[in-house]
Amino acid sequence: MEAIVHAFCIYVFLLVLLRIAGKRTLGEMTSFDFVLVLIIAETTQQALIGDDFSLTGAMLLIGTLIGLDIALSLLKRKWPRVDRLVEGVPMVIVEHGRPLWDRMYKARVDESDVLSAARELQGLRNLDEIEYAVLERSGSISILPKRR
Amino acid sequence: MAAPTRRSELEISEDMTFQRRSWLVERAAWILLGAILVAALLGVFGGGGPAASTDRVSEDGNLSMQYDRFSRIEAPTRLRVVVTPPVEAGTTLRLWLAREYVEALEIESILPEPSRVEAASDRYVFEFPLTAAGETSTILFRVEPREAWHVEGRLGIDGGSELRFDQFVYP
Repeated sequence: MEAIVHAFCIYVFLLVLLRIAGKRTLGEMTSFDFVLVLIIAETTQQALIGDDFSLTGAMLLIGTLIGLDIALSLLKRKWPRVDRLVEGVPMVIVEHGRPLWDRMYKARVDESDVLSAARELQGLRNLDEIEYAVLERSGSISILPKRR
Repeated sequence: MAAPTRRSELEISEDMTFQRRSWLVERAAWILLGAILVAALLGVFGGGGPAASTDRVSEDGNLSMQYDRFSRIEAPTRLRVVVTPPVEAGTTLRLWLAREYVEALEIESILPEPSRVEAASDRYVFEFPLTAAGETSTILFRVEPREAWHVEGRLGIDGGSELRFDQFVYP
């Protein structure tokens, strides 16, 4: 029982924490973000396992986490509001080659992020060649080039 | 590999019959997983919970115990023994545990500490000092199971009542 309650608490806590940290925090992982993920995993492990080293305990813990993930995906399908709350919404940050600065400032995305995505995804050279840049729900930037 | 039936311009080995079957299995497995988790919340797989712990009382009511019916290997569990020793036994309580049971687990601590432990051929006798004769006292054994599956335990007051109990230890 304890393990399941602990897993539930950790799951909800991480869900809320990563949501309020903003999309950019883990959406585009830098090497430091990667280290951060490892540290989070290591810290969480103590609270989840405690002094139960049994096979049954481990299986139940994994089952709980996967089960919560399935349950959340079903909730998101049933209620779009839950989906919006958990995943956020996509946002246009460049329109017809013109950056929307206030949005980018709030979302902590700058021009170089957009340009790097434009180069990587579409091979574009500058902002003028971008029709739309969208900050997706996953935290990545997608680029739609202007029609030639 | 099943030959692509529709969308022949795509080089894809789509097989919707197989896909539908795997969805069916998937949904059934979700229900099973949910049922297992509910059972685990109740304590059927050990680790605490309403179904995990239970108690036993001897016929004369002098000896009772609370223990985990379901526990997990190498995860701490507890035996709570409440005894009212007969007055003629004086101010020492002699409580015994079957040797086979003690060998199946590791006793991490006993509260209060026994003043003496004797080894008989089939049992270990723990001697506890009491403050007054005939008084009810509670002995706590903090143990960790070392053998999985079914473990049968026996404990009792030396020369008095005896309790048998079964524990299921998950690996």
